[in-house]
Amino acid sequence: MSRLFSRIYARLDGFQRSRTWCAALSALITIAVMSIGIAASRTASTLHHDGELLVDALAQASVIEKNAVTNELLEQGTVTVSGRAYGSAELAPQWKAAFAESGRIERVTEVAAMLLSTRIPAWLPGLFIDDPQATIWASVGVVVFLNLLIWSGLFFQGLVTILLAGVAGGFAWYAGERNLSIALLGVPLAMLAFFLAIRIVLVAFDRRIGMLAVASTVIREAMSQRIAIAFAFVAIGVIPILPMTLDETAPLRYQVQTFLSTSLGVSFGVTAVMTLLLGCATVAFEIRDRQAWMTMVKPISRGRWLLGKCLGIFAIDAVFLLVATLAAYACLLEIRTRPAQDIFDAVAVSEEVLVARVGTFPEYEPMASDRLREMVEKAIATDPAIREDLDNNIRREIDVKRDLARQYQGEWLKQQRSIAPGAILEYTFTGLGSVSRTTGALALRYKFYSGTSDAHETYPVVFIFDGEVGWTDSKFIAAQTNVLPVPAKAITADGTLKLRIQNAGFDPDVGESGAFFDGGSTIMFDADGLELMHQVGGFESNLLRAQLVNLCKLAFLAVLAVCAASILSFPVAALVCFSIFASGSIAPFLAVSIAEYNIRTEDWAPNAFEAVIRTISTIVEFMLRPFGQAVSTASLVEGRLVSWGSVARAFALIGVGWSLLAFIAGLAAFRRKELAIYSGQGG
Amino acid sequence: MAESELIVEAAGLEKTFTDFWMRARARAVDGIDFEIRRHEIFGLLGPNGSGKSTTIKMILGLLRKSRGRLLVFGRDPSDTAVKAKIGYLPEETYLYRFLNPVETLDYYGKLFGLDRRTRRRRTDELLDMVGLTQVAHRPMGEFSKGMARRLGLAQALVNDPELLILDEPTSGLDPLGTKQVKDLLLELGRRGKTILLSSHLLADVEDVCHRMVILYGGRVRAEGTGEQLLADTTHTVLRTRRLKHETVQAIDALLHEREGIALESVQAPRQTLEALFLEIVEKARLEQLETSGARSGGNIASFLREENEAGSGAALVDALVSAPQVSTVSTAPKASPTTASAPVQDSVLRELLQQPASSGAKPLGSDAPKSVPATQAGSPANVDQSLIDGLLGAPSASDRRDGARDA
Repeated sequence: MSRLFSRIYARLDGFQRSRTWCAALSALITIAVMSIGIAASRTASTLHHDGELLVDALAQASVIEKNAVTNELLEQGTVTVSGRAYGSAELAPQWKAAFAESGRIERVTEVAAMLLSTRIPAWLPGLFIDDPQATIWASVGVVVFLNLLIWSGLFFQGLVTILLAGVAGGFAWYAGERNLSIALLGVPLAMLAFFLAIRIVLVAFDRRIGMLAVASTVIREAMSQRIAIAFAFVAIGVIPILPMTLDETAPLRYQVQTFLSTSLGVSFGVTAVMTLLLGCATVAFEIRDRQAWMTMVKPISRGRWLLGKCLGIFAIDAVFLLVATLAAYACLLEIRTRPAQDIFDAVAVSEEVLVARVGTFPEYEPMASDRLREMVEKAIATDPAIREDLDNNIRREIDVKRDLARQYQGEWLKQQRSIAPGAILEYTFTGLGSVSRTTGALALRYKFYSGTSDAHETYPVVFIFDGEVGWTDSKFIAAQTNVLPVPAKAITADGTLKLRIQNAGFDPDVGESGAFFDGGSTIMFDADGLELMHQVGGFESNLLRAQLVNLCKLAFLAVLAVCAASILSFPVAALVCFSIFASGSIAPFLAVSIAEYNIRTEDWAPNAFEAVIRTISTIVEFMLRPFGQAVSTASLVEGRLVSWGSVARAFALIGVGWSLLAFIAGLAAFRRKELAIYSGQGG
Repeated sequence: MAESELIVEAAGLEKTFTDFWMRARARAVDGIDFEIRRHEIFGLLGPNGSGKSTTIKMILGLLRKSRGRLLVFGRDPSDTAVKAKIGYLPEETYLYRFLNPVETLDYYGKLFGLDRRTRRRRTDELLDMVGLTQVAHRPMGEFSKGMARRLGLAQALVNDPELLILDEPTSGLDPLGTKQVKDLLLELGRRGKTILLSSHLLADVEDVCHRMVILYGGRVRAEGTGEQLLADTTHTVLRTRRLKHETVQAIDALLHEREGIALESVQAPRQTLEALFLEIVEKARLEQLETSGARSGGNIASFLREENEAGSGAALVDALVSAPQVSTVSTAPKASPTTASAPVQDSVLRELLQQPASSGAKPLGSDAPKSVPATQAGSPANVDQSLIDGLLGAPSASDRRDGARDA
């Protein structure tokens, strides 16, 4: 039987190498996929058009006027446009909350989207409804993918994979296991995309350039030794499985953030580990097993050989990140189709997570220099401990003054971030001129501490804006990030937003119009605990930039591993590389630890060990800080902008600067190294 | 020979290996001098640990010399331009186990900057030449040692090198492969390639090399042509069809009369095991029996047969390539183009035997040594022509043998 299969496989494999066959199949596939794509595009266009009609209809809805649309929405949970009813009776109870005090629906677009989602076919991603043209582009993408499979000689393998995965996924779908179905279909597709991308890279590297030949051989080695495949399964194949692990009862915002954080974090981490292992192994073992001799006696310099190795590993990294990003994005589109808990949850996903926002901190007033000087002089004159130090020349006066100035300045600023119960403090955000002109949503991100900061309790706070916006009361969870939507009209024409925060609450049930009450304990927050966020870009471009930053870091790791292994044995090189990677990754945490790590200076000798530890840690933290700070995935998950500036910085500093330094150091040592060893009987 | 025709030039070459603290650990090469000239097959002989491989590694730029002068094509060995002209077969196969032969040759072809068409052509021809066409798409890791050696040889030739460096080239090869390698070396030598052959298998070097050095303890102990080093001036070997006992006695008597000596031994030679083996394999091949391993190689790759020397025409190339191959390995080097020793004719012996035997001729006695001189199994070309000429009263033929490399 196996022989029969082998023969069939061999026959089919030979078949797909025929150019005629490839051309015919390519034409057939292109026509079929584009036909389906055009049909899907029509459905998407209809829904898109109805969506616009829904927005128009909902804009007219008013609980005060009680028009037909409002009645239908509140009674039946639906809105009818073009003869089609959108929504369902189950949704009727929640629409009441959608109406603002003005009687109208405040977030018309989101309500329309939720209504529309009830009639979107399960096979049609919401993305295509928003942009029907995307259906055509997606069809083109599928056509390109399948044509690449055909012309790279992987069509039958791919077809069998897709069919098997489709059958398994179909059964799961039929059984109501939607997530399992996506996993069963997604894992093989992701792996297939990985194999295809590797094949394309090999074709691209098929040039008579020694460096590319070396790079190509690294890729072949990684594939044939199953190193890349095993790691690809963990870094890429696991992504379609992750949606299954999400708690669907949690707010959609957190599901999206958890998925993004896990998928991109795992793919980067696993790729980094593979990069270090493969980089060290391919060079160290090649030198040990003497394959390097065979290459070094050919007309290729040692520098080009090392560069070829780096290039090969970098190419695999790029494929890993590319396919992982595409898989994560595809899964994200699916997760977004899950129902949000409420309208605010839906808004949070679209306006706080899947966006690129920048933050502005309030301006704090520094202590007046005269007052600061006066306080410092007074302390020096009156504090006996300080006087004693100065009199005995233990400390210099200039050092004492500097330390005191820092201390007082810090305390002064801290006072501005402490709001006593019932007190009101004003904060000014400036430079928001461009924000006021955009339609992008504003959000106040705050993280307050109060009392014991019990995470299971909520604390009251009142935010008061200038002008017609007025005030709003809120309740926050201490020590956690909370978000308050801020209307753009709160920003004045000169780009300033004034916000007063009162440590108080509002009880609407007291008296006729309610009454304010003081907060229970002082509200405090850190320097970055109050931030005004505003949207400056979309999620997709932010995702691209975040992955480019990760790619720069991987490029450095590839060079580091290759160069370390060129002069060290595999275990030592791997140890060095992993130490650097780990130290670089935890550099920001290391900085905090060092700041907290106090040495008792009065008893120096017994603490010499601690001093050495601190010195080494400080040096390591200083050198590797940029690596740890370039955490693009965290920014992406928080919906923060990963700017092109940060990409350029990561590229210039880590991708080029550090890599170049590592390469120059490695090459200098490698050029001095004698590849051959003494094999005689002496010594 | 002009200075410019020196391919490798070593003078006072020394290599000392040191430990981590830079203390001398071993002096593998100790001030050796030698030169390899263009179109020469040069042998590097010596026991294990004598410095052969270290010398080769210095020529290849894998090791740096500690002292002395070493030039390859007039340049430093680490120069990549030099490496473009060299083909190297190490003593063991150090190829990528995950690549198949086609990928392997393609990879090395790319390192030499060969275009795709040339790479494909040479890959096909080389795999055919070394008999690996049937396993062209099997990973090298699945190969036997002999198959891996064949692939190693193919990669050493992929750039059509001017200088071919072979370290123990017949190690791990079956007799068929060994014969093929030797034939190939001779053929490449005829084409004008320069070859450096390192081996401790003395027969390999003796059969193919023009000149050689013998190393021991990192020093040159002897240097010269095969004839200079191997000439046995104390014995003469005659080879003819089987003789009758009376004829042998007559020869013995003649020798006693003319030279005052007796025959030391007379033996009926046996067919060698190598010859028998080759005959059986050839027969099986003609019967088209299947084998899953390496096939016997085909013709020498056409790109290696392209004539480099001016004045040599395609007809000559074809004639040489299509010429029947020598029946045994040991006879091949004797067919050196400069030697052209005439085979001894039966008529000469007949004439020789017609001369009256000396009265004092000592019959072939039982006390004659039974041992056979090493050269006794050689071809008619091994016969010392001067003896025959002397016996026939003809002028010495030594003048005609100038430059001959007969052992």
